[in-house]
Amino acid sequence: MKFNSRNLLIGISLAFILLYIYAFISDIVYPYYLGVNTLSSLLVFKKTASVIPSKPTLNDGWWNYFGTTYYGISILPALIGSLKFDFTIMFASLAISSLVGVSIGFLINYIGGIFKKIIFYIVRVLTTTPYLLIMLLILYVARPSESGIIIAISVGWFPFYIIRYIEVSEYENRNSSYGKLWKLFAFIPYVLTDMGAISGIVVIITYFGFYFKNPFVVDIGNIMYLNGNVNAFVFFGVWWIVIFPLLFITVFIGFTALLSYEIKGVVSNTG
Amino acid sequence: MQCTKIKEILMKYLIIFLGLTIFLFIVFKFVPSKIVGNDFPGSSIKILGLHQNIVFQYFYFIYAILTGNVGYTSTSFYSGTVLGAISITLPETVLFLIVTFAISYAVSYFIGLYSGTAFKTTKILNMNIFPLLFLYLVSGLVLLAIFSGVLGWFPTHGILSNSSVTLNSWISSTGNGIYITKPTNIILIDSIIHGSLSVFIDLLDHMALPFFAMFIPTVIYLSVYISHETSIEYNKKYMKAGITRNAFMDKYIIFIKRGIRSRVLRELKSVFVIFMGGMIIISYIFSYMNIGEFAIYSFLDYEYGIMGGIYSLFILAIIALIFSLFIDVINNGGKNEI
Repeated sequence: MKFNSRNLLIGISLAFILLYIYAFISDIVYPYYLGVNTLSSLLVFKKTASVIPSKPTLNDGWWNYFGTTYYGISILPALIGSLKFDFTIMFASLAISSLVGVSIGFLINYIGGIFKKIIFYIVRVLTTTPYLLIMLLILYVARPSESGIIIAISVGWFPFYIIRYIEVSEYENRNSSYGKLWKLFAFIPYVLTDMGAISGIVVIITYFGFYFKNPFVVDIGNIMYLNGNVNAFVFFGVWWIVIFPLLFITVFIGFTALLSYEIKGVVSNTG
Repeated sequence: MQCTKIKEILMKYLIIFLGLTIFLFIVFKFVPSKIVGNDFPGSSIKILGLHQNIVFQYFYFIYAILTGNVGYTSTSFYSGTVLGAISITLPETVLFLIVTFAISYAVSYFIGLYSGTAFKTTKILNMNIFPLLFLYLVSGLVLLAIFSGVLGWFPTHGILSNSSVTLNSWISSTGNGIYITKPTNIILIDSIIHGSLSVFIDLLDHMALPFFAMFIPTVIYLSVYISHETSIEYNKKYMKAGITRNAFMDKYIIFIKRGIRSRVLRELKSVFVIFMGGMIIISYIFSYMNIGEFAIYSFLDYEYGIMGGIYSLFILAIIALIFSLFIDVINNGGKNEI
């Protein structure tokens, strides 16, 4: 492969994404690498007895690089541990929404006619309205739980895969020289962006306080939610409890978007 | 524009509107009748036609939605009729949406148009819109932490301070950050009508951070998009020959504006939907009185929140549909590309 700035960006993005996925898999296989036996509660990351958050420091071990949040919970290991919850929901939602969307897209291409029109209107209904609220409505009905969040995100997201399937198929029809394998390859940039975007949605939903009657569930949104007291903490200048969790997940979302951007460029350029 | 074209567009949106009501009704039917009964004390069977078959129930449902007879809500945000909550929050929501979106678009257009002609690149744009929603959370929380928390320049939450209520008889508060002003219930306009500079400044002080939290991500996305479209148009053959031989003397920018108009308008529709999602997030972060905030608190309250949640979703969806319809009408269905 020829070395240029695009390849370098692809390499860096891929390395970061794989690092996050590695941390996620490690949480499932061997949580003790974080220094805890299980990821059952944020309290397992309790470092100090003080309820007042302490500032980030480089002098007190890696656990305190990002400081502590309420109840003396160290933020950095808690953030790494939270990938287990967030990525599980993200991968499950992504798998369901893409499978359902692509299947419906394939069906409407195959059957066509009035069925195609009906599906198009359903897609328009779901994509013209603010889909965040549609997800919250579904979550309300499905009840706040891990599976409830997965159902809510999948219902809100599958219409985009129908649109994408149609777009990819039309592009393939216009350029008949492409093989069937190309269609699969064309979805990779979408899947990559969605890994970041859906992770963001999970954080948003949990930041709103859905699902967490228990304030100690190990999740990024929950770390920032602070049992509904984020404004009070911020008012007293405790900036690190918000900035570091945001930075942690934004790095992942940013690199998935960047990798998607660069790979899609490669896909487009092959034409 | 031909009349038939407008009729076609209107018909399309009528079908989407009906689809929206059917979707809401289907989801609504998954909610246990006991929970629905909480929002209609003693009258759910009559108002929602629960004694009828499912088809008739849909017509009862749509009638209740259209007439605003959507029962009561009792959440930590608002207690009273759902229609009352919407009538209090809707004017501020519409004003905030119009002001923030219009200014963001104007600034993006300016930056995009001139950067697009300055750099003259035609690289393929593969930018995906979906991470934009998360950027609103990032911008909101970062601005809150820095400018409210560390620097203390702006208030952390709310739309007005308590002193504005105590000093002005035309403002009343129902608690939980909800303010009612007379005569229009739009604080900005009412402060001008009453000549109250202090309330006006107090509002701007509270509005500053939510505004910039919406403004920054939108301008970043839209200006990159418009810049890209401009550079494509600028590098087309017709720009290089004949009509714009002396481009800068020939007001070439007009041709670029005409060229990108259709594509930019089409993109605005999807940006606006994400923008509304961002408004919901921002209004929650800053407790900025808004339908979005009401919707979230409604969905958070399982016992008494269903009608508040559904009706606020319905109203926000109608706003999005009206915007989309407006864009389609002025864009002639997206088929007037040069």
